[in-house]
Amino acid sequence: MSTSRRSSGRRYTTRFVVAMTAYTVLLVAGISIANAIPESPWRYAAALLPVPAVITLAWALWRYVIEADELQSRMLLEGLGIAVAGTGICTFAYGMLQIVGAPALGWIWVLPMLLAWFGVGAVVTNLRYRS
Amino acid sequence: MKNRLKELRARHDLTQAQLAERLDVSRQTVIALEGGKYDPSLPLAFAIARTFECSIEDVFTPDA
Repeated sequence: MSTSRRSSGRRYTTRFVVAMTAYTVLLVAGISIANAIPESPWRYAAALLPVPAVITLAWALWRYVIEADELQSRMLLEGLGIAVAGTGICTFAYGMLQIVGAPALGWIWVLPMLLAWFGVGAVVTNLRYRS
Repeated sequence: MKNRLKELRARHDLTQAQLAERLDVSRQTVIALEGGKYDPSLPLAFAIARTFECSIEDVFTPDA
């Protein structure tokens, strides 16, 4: 369908914003509920509340990969490359620091870091292909 | 690669949005193509040439 590629960027932005809003709300809710019932086995279910939002985020990205035109696909690939490289370098470097005594950080920080680097990647690729 | 996209688009009295619609790409892609920031794939280059009823060489020329 011809309208598919032309508006793919707008659709992706909408899906991304909705998923990120849900992620933020469910993250706060999940942590609050889990902390309120520290002895209950339901705390595990509460802690997993934000996961559907993360799955929605991955789905939005996947849809964009399918719907994007060739320049958008290239920009996405370059942005993801920056995100993977940035996250890989940071997590590896901090992992090495942890070995020699830096405070331990949880896996929870990997996704926000990946998203932050993906944001950097989006800015860099937009500047690169801007006329 | 240099191109005459902007000139040909003006000659055919098309806006960037209209050209994007005909080529089934985003307006962002048309802007990047016109600005010489992005070289299209061969299928897209053929689609551009077909839109302006000319050959690929009439639209695109190598830098050197």
